[in-house]
Amino acid sequence: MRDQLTDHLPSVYRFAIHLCGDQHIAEDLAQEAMLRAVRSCEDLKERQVVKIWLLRIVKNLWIDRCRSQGRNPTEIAIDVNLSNQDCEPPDQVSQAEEVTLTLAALQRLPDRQKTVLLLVACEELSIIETAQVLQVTPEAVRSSLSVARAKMRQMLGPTLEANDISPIRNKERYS
Amino acid sequence: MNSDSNSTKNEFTDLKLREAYLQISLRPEFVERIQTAVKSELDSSQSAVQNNVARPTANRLYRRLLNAFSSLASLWLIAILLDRSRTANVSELTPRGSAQQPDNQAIPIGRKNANSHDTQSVGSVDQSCLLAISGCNGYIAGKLYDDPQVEIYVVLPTQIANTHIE
Repeated sequence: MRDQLTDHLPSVYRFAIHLCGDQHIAEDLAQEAMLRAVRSCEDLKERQVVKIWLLRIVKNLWIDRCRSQGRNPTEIAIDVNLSNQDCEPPDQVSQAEEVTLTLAALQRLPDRQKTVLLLVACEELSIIETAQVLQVTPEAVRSSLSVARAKMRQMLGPTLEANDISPIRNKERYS
Repeated sequence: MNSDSNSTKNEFTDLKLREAYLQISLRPEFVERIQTAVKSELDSSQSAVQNNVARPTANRLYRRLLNAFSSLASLWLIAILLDRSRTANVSELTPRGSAQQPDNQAIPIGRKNANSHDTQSVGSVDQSCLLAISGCNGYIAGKLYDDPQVEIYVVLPTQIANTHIE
């Protein structure tokens, strides 16, 4: 069980970055979450939910931190500048533009919708798992996700049209 | 068709988000720091477990002793209550101010005529007999005696208790 914890460190850190938007705070949050998980992982009965559990610890740590500083836990969208430049894909210019536009659209979403979309799209969690991380009902997650996706489609409309995104094209492109 | 289109657009958005998300990399120093911290935490928790091997056993033993003592105390309390209910009639029977009779001691019973001060001994009863006839709030049932002029005395060693016949 304890060996599994460090496997989830990248997810924990990225989620922390999404929440706080600061590399150093995110590192502190991730470290505290990992240590808390190590101390109490004996209590965790289901090994499958380690990732959900860790993400929830990060979220709660962030909320505690904000409250102790007397401010609301506002999530911050991923800043592309935080990404590692060594990992950029080959088709750098167009890919980077698309990513930047997508992130800009994401940033305009309300906090809850932003987080739900990130957990589902990036962490590839199910609706129920996302609900467990955020400690809300699956219906609330489903609703937030639906609205977030609709807004993203609307905001990225020109980009999507320019890339000629169609079902057939999509299958060829991402297969 | 519209649903397919939306689904495809969603997939595209997800893909772009995932690209951005996965580009967030962890600093090697940070990863090393976490690994060290986790290892240190693991070591300290394991040494704590080794140092306190006897503690869980002692805790279990203490809990068992506590439970046993608690059960014993409950039984003792129940026994006291039962005993009190069993001996309640004795205290009711014994007149106030009189000395408590030792067990199985013979208690003389006197009889006198209401018009005279003479007392005539009619025999004796022991404590157990007295207990057997003690259901009338300390008064000995006297229905057996037809003569209402007759009083029965239970003569105790230290003083005479007048147990009136109704």
